[in-house]
Amino acid sequence: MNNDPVRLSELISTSGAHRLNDEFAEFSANAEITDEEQQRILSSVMRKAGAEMKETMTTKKTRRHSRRFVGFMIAAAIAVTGAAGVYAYNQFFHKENVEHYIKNGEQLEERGLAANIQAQTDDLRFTVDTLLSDGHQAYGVLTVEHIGDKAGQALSLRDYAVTIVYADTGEFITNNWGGDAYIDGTEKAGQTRQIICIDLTGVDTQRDVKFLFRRDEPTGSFYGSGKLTGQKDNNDIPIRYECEATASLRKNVENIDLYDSEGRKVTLSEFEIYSSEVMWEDTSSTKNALKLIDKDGNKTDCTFTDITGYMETYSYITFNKLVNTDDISGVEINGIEYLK
Amino acid sequence: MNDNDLLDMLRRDPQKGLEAVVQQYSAYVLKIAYVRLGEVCTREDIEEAVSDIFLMFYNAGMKNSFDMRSVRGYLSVIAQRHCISVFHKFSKADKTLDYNELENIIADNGTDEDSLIDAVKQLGEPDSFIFIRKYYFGQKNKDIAKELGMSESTLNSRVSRGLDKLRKILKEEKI
Repeated sequence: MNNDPVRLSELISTSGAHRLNDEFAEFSANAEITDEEQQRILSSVMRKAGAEMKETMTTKKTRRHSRRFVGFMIAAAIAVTGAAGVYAYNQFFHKENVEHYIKNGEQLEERGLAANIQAQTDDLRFTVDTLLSDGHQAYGVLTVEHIGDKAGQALSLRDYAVTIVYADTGEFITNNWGGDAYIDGTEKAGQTRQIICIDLTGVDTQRDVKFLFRRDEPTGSFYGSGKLTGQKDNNDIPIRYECEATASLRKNVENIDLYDSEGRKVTLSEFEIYSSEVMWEDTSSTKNALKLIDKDGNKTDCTFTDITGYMETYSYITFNKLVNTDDISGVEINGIEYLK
Repeated sequence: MNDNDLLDMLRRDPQKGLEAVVQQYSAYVLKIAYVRLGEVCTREDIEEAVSDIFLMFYNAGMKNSFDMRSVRGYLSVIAQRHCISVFHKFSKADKTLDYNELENIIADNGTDEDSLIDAVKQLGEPDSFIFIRKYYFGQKNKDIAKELGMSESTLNSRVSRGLDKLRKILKEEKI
């Protein structure tokens, strides 16, 4: 039994709230709103939802945030699920952790890309703070923290593991866990943070997935604790977990295809350059390896400033800030240009 | 238009349904937001929070085909959670909301959602109304008293007696 105080806002769920309808209705008895206020809210909601506003869009408001949700259809498509333990706010629970890897925290919030998907055991809380998908990879930030009696106690990235399966069948997709490379001494006490990177090759992104979290205790095996799912991973090892959260890997950021002179394609998305083939060498050791080319043909070297990670085998380079693909005409990787 | 009508409309034509939901519930959600955020946010920020709440409702509904039993209930939960999140963002002096007496009683008894709702219902009216206003929406005693047409001292004693009763109900159920 968990005797930690719990917020009423967390205890009362979306599925159980209907039982309090009388009480909620009573509270609303004296609720008032002016026509102008209602109109502003309606206009704002519909604009954010990417809907066509007929009359309200042309009324006189020039709100402070009125242009925040340009191109909002992307955000409107983001999975925000009401399933138990999963909910989304527009504000990050661990914004500093998100911005440690992706600098555009505000922009992510404004676009509804704060996932805040949570699950917890008695002493660990897992939060997928954000989860971006360009259709080729999903790229997110995971925060894990000690809670309860262990709150504040040291936590290692090797203390837990994550398996991702399809939500409907439990079928294995991938394992994902951190390495000590993510530890840099700036973490909060009792907390770790890491990048989640999921190759979506062969993954049906229209189906929801579950993140299955487990501690790496007490056996020291990544498969050593928690419940059996009845499924096995690619190495025929049973999948175990202690808590779970549902998420979507549906595409929610923009991307563009770029080609070199031989017609080889790479994809530039807001968070990465991706290729399904092995196309470049380790950019971290190659001077001027990566340059972004703007519409005027100007090249900006990103090699040492804007890269959070790279993978040579199926080739991706992730950025530490969102790239506006509308402003980019191409990239140069190790001297080879890939253009629209 | 009742919630069933709204849900039908949302399923048939989500955008029209969303408009109807905003028309019907914007005063309610604005009140929830104002109670929780009135001291830390500007009116403009509160309106922004309200529109975000409707958007979250819409996205959640699109995700589950508006498979929900109550628009009001669903909105209430989303609104509370979002307002608390916004409160944390804007509150400079006190970054967190203290756990209230009811939340501590819940913790002491390891109470789950069903048991809590049952217990609140057993308080009867107007005490169940008072408890949801005070402990769920965070409305101040003086405002509750004013809206319910009772003196603040009467309200205080009802809250005090109600807490005792609730504690007893939850303890009995635990046994």
